[in-house]
Amino acid sequence: MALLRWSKKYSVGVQAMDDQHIALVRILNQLHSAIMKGQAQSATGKLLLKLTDYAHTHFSSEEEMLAGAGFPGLGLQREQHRELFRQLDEYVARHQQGDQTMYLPLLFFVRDWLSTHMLKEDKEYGPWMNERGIR
Amino acid sequence: MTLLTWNHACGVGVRAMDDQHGILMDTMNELRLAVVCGRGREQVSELLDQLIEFTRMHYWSEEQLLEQSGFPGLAAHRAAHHCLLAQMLEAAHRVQYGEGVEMNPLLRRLRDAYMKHTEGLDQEYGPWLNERGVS
Repeated sequence: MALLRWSKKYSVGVQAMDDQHIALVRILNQLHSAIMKGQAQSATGKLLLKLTDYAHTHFSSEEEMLAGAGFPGLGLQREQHRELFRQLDEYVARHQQGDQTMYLPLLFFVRDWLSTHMLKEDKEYGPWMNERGIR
Repeated sequence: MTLLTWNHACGVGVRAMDDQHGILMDTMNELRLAVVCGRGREQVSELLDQLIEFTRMHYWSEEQLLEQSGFPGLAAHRAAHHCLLAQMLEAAHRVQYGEGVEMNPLLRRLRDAYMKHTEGLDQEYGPWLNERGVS
């Protein structure tokens, strides 16, 4: 079973961002599935790296789009993205130390963060972008 | 049915396990909210599946810790986990396929079994792990 299932309710009204969110959710689900199958630390490590890398790519692209459109909520978005990375860094450090108790809190946190972020903050830029012809 | 809240009796003396128990309580509260708000069978069923997955992950993580430290009560603990999971799977099956299932008593039984385990058997490994430097 997927940890998080992307559905229309998560749509932020901008196709490119929805696509990236779907990709991010997919990586999260891959990580979840690898953990549930009890895969080796090296395998879960690779997926954790893939998740943080893709999150970097996506957030840069999102922030760039918002900056280009002069979206007033950009500061808050940046702040939240930074906070996610701060937490992710802590989990990555625990993983590197071989602490297997970090898996559950990591998955719980990312699932929660991502779904709340898509439903709340990201939804706010949809109309702003749409009015500027980006959808 | 009341909200599950953290109290002194839940603490097992190992931070990582306390964190995970907290996550399971949050997840159970999410499920409770869905039942109280009269959400449909599909949504309740999905949340219950999620709870089972998180529980599985938690048990795996806990058993790893107990195994690594050579905890003498591991076999009994594993058996108790197995029994609790079987109870949850049975409940999930009933929610998904059963007709006229009373959600409230079903959920209450699950919560009672969970709390009894955390406040009972889980209390036994704290000192053992603490003595071996896991706190």
